[in-house]
Amino acid sequence: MSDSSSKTPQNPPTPGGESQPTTGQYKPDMLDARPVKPSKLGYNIALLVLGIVFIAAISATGADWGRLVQLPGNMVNYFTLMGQGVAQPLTAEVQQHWLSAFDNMLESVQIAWIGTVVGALFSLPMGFLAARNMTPLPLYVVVRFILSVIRAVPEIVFAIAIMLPIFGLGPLAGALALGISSIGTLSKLISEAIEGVDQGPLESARASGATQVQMIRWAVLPQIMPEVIAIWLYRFEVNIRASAILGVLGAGGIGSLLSALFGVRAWDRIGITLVVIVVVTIIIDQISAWIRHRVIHGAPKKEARAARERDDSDGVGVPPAGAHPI
Amino acid sequence: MSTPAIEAPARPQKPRPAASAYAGLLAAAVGLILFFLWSSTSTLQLDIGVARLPLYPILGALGVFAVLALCWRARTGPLTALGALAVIGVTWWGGSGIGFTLAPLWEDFDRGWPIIQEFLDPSWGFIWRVWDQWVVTLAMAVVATGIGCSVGLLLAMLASPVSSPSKPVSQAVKAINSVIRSIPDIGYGLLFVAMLGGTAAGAGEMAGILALIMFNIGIIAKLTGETIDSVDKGPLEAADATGSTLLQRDRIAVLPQILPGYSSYSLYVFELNIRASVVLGIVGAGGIGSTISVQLSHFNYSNISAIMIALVIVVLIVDYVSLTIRRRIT
Repeated sequence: MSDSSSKTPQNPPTPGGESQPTTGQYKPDMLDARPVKPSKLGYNIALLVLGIVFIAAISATGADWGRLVQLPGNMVNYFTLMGQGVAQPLTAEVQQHWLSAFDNMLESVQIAWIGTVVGALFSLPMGFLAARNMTPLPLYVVVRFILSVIRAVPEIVFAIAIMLPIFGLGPLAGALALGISSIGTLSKLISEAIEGVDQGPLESARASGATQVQMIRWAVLPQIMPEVIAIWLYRFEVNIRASAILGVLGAGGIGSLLSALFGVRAWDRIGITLVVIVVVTIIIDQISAWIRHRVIHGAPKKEARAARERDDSDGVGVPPAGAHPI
Repeated sequence: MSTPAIEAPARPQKPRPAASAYAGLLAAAVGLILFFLWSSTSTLQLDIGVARLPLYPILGALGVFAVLALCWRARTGPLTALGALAVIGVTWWGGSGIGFTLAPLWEDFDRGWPIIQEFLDPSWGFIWRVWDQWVVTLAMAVVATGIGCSVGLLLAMLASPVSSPSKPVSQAVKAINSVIRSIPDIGYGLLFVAMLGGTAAGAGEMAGILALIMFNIGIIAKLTGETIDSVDKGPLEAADATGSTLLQRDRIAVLPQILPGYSSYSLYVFELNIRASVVLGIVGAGGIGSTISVQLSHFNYSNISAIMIALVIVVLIVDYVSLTIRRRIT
């Protein structure tokens, strides 16, 4: 190490230069020593604390870890039963099982969609009210607080506390509960998109004497719309999973079917239902991901240039430079 | 807006979208309205003197034409307008499928009001009586986050083409990840409760932890996988140039880049776990949810209300703490 560094010329005159022996023996001084590795003490302490918390948590759960021993056997057992259920020949009865699973899954998708639409309708205005650059401070603080409370409350709470008493057990109550709880996340993400808009169009709109509404319409909406649509679609994917949760309470859809099937341990039908859930969810995720990508990144490569020219003065189709997929 | 008369080159106008495309859209709209008429199950009718028309399809038709007119005026491209029509169609399908109506809000409000009143009067003493269940819930969330996020990181590494040993491995693991992700947390809860036994059998916590772990793996593998896909390629090339093995490359070039994002996702998953454990408890996995389930079956709404207030407070605290940590990390 030292022989290689002795060949390199020292550009800046070092303060301790006089102590440097001139007889060929090179002694590195402060300035050309290798940089010292920064201390990892804080990092290590954090890791240690994490480890302690983890071990304490393992003992605090009071879980019976011995039961893990019998899990693999049970799993093989039940998965075989489920597999047999999926693979059994399509008699009229089995066909009925597949159809009822599919119908229930579609109902879950409907619940999720209506919930997302309800949330989306409220989230755009709420997003503007929760964006610091669009709203006076007092209103902003109030709206932000309401949103963070909505986000903290799980959707199941809305379902039990507000929707079930009034709307009764059913898909409608589930959809409205999802809708209300969607407002929190959607508005927060949208408000962040609004706060991140490019200031240029806003300034030019203001300079040309635009009113607040005109500024929103011509300077803000065109910039955020692709991102907003992506946020809505993303929430739709989340809501499909959440609607299963509400189904267990009796809000209909795939959750109700699943909990009924688990109640009677009908493993063959459980297998069929799980396959339907996986397939439908993956298909919808793929479609949604494709639309999100298309909306944010615009048309595929060869059309992109033409599309940009076409959409130039309108702006609705032009993705913001900083847009990122969620 | 009145523009002053300027002779100089006229302002460039965006051309109207092709009329032929909009004619096609009009045909699609008519098809959509026929679908409304066909699928409408409501018997509500609109009396316009000469004839009686079905109410909801008429409203739907008005909506369709309004959206088309708006798109034409805003000079939206035909594809976007088609998307808007599709949204209306799907919303109609969903709304009629679940029987969407807001009428219960004013018709059945009296029926629900006593229950809501009970919710508005929480029994504060109950909050402290179930503190041990809170400890269990938090501990379950910690354990599940720890295990789930570790496995999730491994799967994300294997799934991303950047850090995966080979393309087949990456494709296979990606498929596994999407299957894991597509089953909702409640599905895992029911599955593990059925396999191990629920709270009644004394295995509720174990089942809950396992369900949360699967739930976490799905989320972490997805989010972290996307982060790995978009890492800076420079360090990767440098690692390759120095002849590092795949493991060394992942350790030195990939991991440091994704660590801030990964830690932040892990904290986010931890928050999700607390919310999810409420749901899991209702199907028989342990934690605070089992208490809610018991109170729900006794129709003891003021106790549930107390638990839910405590839940909101716990979630807000965890939210705040993790936000502070995330700010320091990233």
